[in-house]
Amino acid sequence: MIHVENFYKSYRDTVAVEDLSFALAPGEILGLAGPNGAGKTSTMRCIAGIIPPTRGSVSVAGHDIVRDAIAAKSRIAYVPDDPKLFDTLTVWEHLEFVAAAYRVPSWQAKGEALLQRFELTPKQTVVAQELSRGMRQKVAICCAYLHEPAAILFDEPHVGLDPRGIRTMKDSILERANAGACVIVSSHLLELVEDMCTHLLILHKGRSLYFGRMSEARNAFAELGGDASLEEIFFHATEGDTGQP
Amino acid sequence: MFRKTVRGIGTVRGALLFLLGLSLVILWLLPTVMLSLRGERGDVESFRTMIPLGMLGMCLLSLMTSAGERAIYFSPGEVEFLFPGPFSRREVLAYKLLGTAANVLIGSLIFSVFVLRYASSWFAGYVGVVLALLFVQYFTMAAMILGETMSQRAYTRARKIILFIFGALLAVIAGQVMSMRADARDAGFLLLLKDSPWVQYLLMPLAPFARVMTAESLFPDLALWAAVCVAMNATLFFVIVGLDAEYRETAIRISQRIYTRIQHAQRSGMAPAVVKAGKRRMPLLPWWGGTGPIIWRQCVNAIRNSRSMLMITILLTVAVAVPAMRNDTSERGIATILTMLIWLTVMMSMMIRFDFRADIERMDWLKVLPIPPLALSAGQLVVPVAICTALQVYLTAIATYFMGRQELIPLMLVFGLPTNLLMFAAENTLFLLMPTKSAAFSPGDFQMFGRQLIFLLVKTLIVGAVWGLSFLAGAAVYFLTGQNTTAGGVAVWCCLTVAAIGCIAAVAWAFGQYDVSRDTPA
Repeated sequence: MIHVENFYKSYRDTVAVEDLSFALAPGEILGLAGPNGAGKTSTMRCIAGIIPPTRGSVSVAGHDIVRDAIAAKSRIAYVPDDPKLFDTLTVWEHLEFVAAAYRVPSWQAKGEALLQRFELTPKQTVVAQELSRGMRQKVAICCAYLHEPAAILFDEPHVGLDPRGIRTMKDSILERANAGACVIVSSHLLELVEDMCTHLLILHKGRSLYFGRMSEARNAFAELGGDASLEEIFFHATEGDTGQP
Repeated sequence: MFRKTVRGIGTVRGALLFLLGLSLVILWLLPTVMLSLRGERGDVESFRTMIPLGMLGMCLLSLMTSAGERAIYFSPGEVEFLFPGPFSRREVLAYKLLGTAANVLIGSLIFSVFVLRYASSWFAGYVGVVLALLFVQYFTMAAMILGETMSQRAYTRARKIILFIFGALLAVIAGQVMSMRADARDAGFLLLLKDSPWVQYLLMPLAPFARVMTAESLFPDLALWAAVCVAMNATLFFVIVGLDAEYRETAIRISQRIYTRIQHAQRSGMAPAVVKAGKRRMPLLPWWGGTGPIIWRQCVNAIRNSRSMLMITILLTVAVAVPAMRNDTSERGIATILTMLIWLTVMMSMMIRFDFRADIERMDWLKVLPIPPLALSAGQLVVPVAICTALQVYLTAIATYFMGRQELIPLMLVFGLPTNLLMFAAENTLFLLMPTKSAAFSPGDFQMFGRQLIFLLVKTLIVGAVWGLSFLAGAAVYFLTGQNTTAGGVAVWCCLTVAAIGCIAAVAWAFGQYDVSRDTPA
């Protein structure tokens, strides 16, 4: 579903991502972990078609994100870490806009169900500028789900959400994956990644330190022992130790 | 302000923009400086009358509007670090008062230029301006703090009663003066107003500030009047600090509101709208190749910003109606109005921002949409172009109401539309290539002045060049068709329209080039 091959991204002299390759099949959930500045957001933005790759190829649902951008984008949803909604549109109008832009037929019932699930029904006539951080995050998630995307990209999706919101978000991600969507979750919350993801990609200074199934990560870092947590694996991979003071 | 001024100055582009902006400010101030250097001193007596009236007006405006709230505005950083820090309320307030004084000291450098014509020396003018501005600031702050010592509700009611009494008093005085002198108008009216004994009592404490500005000698004139003003400001200072009111909760609420306004203005370049969704909803537009949803979104945005649009319309109406009322129907009079309409159009293209300029923080949203960049760019331009054209036609109708020549209205509609598309396309292309957040609240930002000047120049050049070429094509057709004016006009219109539509491709290209990870300075 998502194919990333020899992907490079640089900003002038700074290399953000270097020679990254991975592939994800439908139903798989990839946890993208890495310290600040590792290249996670650059990778997500390139897959979403927001910025072009400097080199290499990225394709989603068989469509190249550069050459066949519109077809690829119609199969993708991207939820940024701090969603900036349209200030003057209401919650419901955001869904209307997304439905119109993605040409979703008969979307109203689906929209209502999404708002109900994310506890936004009472807020549907409220304009975005009056919403709290968590509410905005929920609206962005509802918008992302509305057009039934084949690939969903979440950048720090838990930020601003209350415990109930985090639970709903996690459940919804698992449901989407079970329904055949391919999901990438970038997060510093390693417990969330470990709990939810089928695959793991650890990035550090733009390079891939590990990509594979979550269950195989412990084997890849066998020196830590068979019962190492993801946190220990992460610190070992990125800092060469177990993260203990 | 200093950091904003020097930010980016280390780069060649930043330095050039800074120099350009600085030159613009110097050019703006130069005529006033030259006039005063020539030794032509203005009417000092009138100046001494107008300054206290102006100060009274500023104080009243601060009380009447929310502008006074700025007096106790703390930036988010100050709220986060000073309020929970080991400082007493008085210390924080003293910090605010001293900070205000520092800002006034810098800001007065510019304002002092405008009093040069009436002052015997720059120093006297500067000192006078500093003291006057400090008084207005401290007066407003004292009123806000005083309000906090009363309950907020009582304060609001008391403020309304005081303002009502003030208003009634001024109306009575104005009525008396008007009945005494039927020819009382404009500044003359204000001078007569000042003669009323009631107003004289009211203005008495403010007169020393004008005396400082126009002091003839350092001693005793300047020193004496300045001492009086300093005493008044010091009294206000100690009243504010001495009250020791629990102002912090209000300050946080006000600061949050003002900061939200600043952020909104930086994002959209427009005053924030008090948005209520309302019961009526605009129906979705058809797909139209991808432009429909984008146009719909900008339409809703424009409707919900209608208050800002109304303000712009009122200002533009006054700007056109006043010269048009002179009823000068000569060629020169018409040329003046047309020139004004052209410049107002340029201004409108900077003010009406229902396009990429207001979407700087939502570019990732736009980039991820499965809509071709060309359609998306066209959709972004439709609403501002339509609004600008409608306003142009409206302003032309106002001008022609007074001056005749109604044939200008359809001409403005026909030629205005492609010209506006061209102008907004140029504005958006430049913006996407050199993105920046609108900085409506940074008077010391010379780079922003420079950037605006470059934008204005390039935009004028593009529109001028396209118009020039279209005119040449029109002239050729005019002569080739045996001096047929209609054929020539149609040729001009066709060239303009083709160029304008072509410019949408330039916007789409610039949109493709836009990098969401790029730093966009405020």
